[in-house]
Amino acid sequence: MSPTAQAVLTSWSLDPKLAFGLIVLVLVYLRGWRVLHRVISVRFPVWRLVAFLGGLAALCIAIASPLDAFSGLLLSAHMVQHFLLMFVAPPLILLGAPLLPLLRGLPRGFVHDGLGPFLTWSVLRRFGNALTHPAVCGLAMVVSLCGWHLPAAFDLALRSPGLHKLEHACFFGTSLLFWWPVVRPFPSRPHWPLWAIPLYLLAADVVNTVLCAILTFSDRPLYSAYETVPRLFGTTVLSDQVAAGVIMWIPGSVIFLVPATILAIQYLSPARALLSPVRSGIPFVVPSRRPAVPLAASRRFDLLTAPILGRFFRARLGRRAMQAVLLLIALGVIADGLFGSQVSGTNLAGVFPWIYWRGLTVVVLLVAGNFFCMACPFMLPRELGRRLGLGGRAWPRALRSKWLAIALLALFFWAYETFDLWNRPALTAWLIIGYFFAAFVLDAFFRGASFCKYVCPIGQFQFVSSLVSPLEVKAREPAVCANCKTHDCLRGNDQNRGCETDLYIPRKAGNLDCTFCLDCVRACPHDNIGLLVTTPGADLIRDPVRSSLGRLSRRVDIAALALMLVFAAFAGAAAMVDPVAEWKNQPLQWGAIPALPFTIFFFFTALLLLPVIVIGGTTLLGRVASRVTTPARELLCRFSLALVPLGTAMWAGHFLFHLLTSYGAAWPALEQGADHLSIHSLGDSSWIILSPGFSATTLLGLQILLLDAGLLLSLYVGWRIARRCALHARPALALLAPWAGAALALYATGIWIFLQPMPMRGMVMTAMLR
Amino acid sequence: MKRLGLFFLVAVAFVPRLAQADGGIVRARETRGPFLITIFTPSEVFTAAPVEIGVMVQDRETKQVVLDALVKLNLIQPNESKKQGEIGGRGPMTGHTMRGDSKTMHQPSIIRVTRGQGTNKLLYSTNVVFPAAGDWSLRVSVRRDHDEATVDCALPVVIPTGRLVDLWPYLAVIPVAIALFAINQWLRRRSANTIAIQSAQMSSPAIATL
Repeated sequence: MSPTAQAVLTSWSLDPKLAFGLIVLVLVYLRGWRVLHRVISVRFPVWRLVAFLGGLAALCIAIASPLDAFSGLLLSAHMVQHFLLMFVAPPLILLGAPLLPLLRGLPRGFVHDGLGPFLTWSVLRRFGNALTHPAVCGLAMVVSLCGWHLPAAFDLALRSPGLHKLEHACFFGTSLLFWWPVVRPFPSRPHWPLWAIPLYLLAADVVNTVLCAILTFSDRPLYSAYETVPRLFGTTVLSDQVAAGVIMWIPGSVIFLVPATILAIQYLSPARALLSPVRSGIPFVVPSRRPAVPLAASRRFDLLTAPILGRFFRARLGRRAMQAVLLLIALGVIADGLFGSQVSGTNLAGVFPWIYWRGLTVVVLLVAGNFFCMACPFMLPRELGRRLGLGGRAWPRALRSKWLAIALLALFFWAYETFDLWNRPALTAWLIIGYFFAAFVLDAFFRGASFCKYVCPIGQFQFVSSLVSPLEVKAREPAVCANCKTHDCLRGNDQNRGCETDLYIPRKAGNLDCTFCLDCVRACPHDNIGLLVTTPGADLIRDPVRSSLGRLSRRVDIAALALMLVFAAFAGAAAMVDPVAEWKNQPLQWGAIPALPFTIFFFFTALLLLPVIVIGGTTLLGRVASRVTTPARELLCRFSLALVPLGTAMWAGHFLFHLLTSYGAAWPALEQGADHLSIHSLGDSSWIILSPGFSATTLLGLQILLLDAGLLLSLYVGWRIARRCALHARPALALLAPWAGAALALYATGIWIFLQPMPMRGMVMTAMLR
Repeated sequence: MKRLGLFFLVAVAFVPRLAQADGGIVRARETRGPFLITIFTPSEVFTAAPVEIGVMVQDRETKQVVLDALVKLNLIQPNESKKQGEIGGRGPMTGHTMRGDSKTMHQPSIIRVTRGQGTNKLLYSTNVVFPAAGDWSLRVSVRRDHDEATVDCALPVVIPTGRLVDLWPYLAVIPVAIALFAINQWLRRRSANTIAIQSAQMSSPAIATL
């Protein structure tokens, strides 16, 4: 293949946001189509699936293939792109009859409670009815087609990427409308009789023909933009324009005339009545919130039943393997941290814990669950300590709360900033050694998982953040547990130990205190425990009596832990941005205040004082305004926990920034670390790091989207809590409003932080040049 | 001669700002030596954000795209001594993290551009973060075997009006979602009221006697 052809064929680009949207769309459609194909295969045969996927593929080719890259240089490429957007993708997508599969593919509760009221809203139905009227559809497409092909509009779109996208969106959107009366996707009802549709298509063909004729037979270039660009492949401006006109004309007419002919034949066919039952099409009915037969827990997705992963997680060796890998990494980090270069960005102790581990952990928490605790390497010295059999004492009753862990977390956040832990590989190594030692000592003397449950600061972060995770360890069939007499999941048996954090599966709700160790899964004699899908944040709305935890509305320590983690997310990220760092350093530069008391004051204010004042104040204000009778302590606890989604989103935005901007640092750091330890087989470390395949705006957009999702989930949880505390909507709003204002203020703070320049402070940059 | 040069720069800078390719406009198009060189940049170049600069090199006679040339960019801030050292051809992310770490970066005085960076693989392109606003000069040097050519053009760099403006779709998510949720709750309450009224009517004594 010639280099030019190779260059042309490799000129692909797909906007990550669009790619994500398309993947979600395909997954939802597939899920819905699978069910409908099983139930009414006549309406949803395989060809509908193929048509839908083909339509999306055509859309992708139009906007992500070399056609897009060359649309600014060649009018003919641009016209092929428009052809796909208008004449190929829309009819194929509509032939997939996407309405029902997409609705069926979404969660039932969301369709019923979220979309249902809109789908049955008479105003929207009338609007939809008017919008899909053939006269409106045809007019919209003709106006869009002719309007955007006016030289001034076309040139304008070529100059501005934003307008160019708008042009494409117009073409695609109006074409979906145009093809609607032709395809009549099930279960829509036709406005016009069948005989009128071929005429409708012919009228559109006439407009297209006139436009293409002007383009083809013009003796001068119509679009000045193409006069200034370099000419490619031996074309001239005019020959390119003629090719563009012909592309739109011939295949365009075929696209109009073929369905017109098919519909005309269908109309004239005697079997028409049998073939076209659309007139009496089934009107849309919002599915009920619950299926006719209640969906058993076992019908929910269970990761433990997945073909390879499920078996891996269930196997005891699977967990040991994960722990061994992390232990090896931890040992490498300790070795390089103590004996390697003390430049954090090139040391394993600077790169692995502060870039990779934090970022990956939070990603896994958001997309799956608390898998770090499952693979925790600190469990191995724990096991060793337990085997030494030094104790077996019960954890002191006075310490059976989260207060000790809160104090340790506060200490860690303060130490992280004060001693620049991210920039001190040796200190990081000592911290990890200390962690191993603490786990060993505590679990050698005390029984159960006292370290995990009451001490481990990382564990507390994982527990609280996993309240918004989509997976939880849960009984598959509650009825089986009701008949169980042995309670092996809690007590264990001869072969397997039970839950070491004292969680009794039938009464376990949410992921709090669950280390995903899966001991309960192995101990259950009925094989009734799985890693089931759950709605993220649902456990923040409910307030049942939870095994080993009680009601969260009465656990001030857990509420304080959640609140501190939420505010620490903002304080930690704020401390890294330039304006805050400068502001924080000003008093130190004056020499008026010593550094230590100042940082203590900063963190005391940010992590303890501010949360109590802001959340306590707004919750109490809401209570007074709404006149609800719910105890203030209960409200404080519940609304503090409701902020967890926002806090987790902030952690995720912050850590993902480090992960995505320094993702290439692992291997060179490993090479360098190995070199310091006299292992030369990995070769010399090369710090030429590829730039990431996304722009700064994309990363910023991702961070803001995470915050958006966090805030919306927090507000939703807050609203549901308020509705449970107040009988009517008005007092619920009064109760919610001040707290929601505080949540919005936190969100605004997060946006401001993300907009600031964030120096990496010792981290490796993405594009360090040799 | 100086005026002529200034006129040339202004003309090059503002006249051919028409076409778009790979997300940019044609900033300059010159035939130099055996090459036809076209420089693409975004229509507006801002400071403190990565800016993609693309160069297409074609054979002067055949108009075939030249893919094996050595292309370098030299960016010069006018009215001052050459400040090429202040910027570097880096990955797009560096614009976001530029402050506070400039000392640690190795910064080349001349940026070599390659064909792998942009979407359109016929273009030699790179991302550059401009540290200051002003009328920068861009010099593109192309070399292949013993042939060499240079094209200059002016590049006005301005301070962005506000990043929030670019991010409005992300920020609009919150008010839109809240508005939709409010409508949803209103519709559900209305629907519940309608059902309650209907069931009350059904259970009224008059209907019950029927």
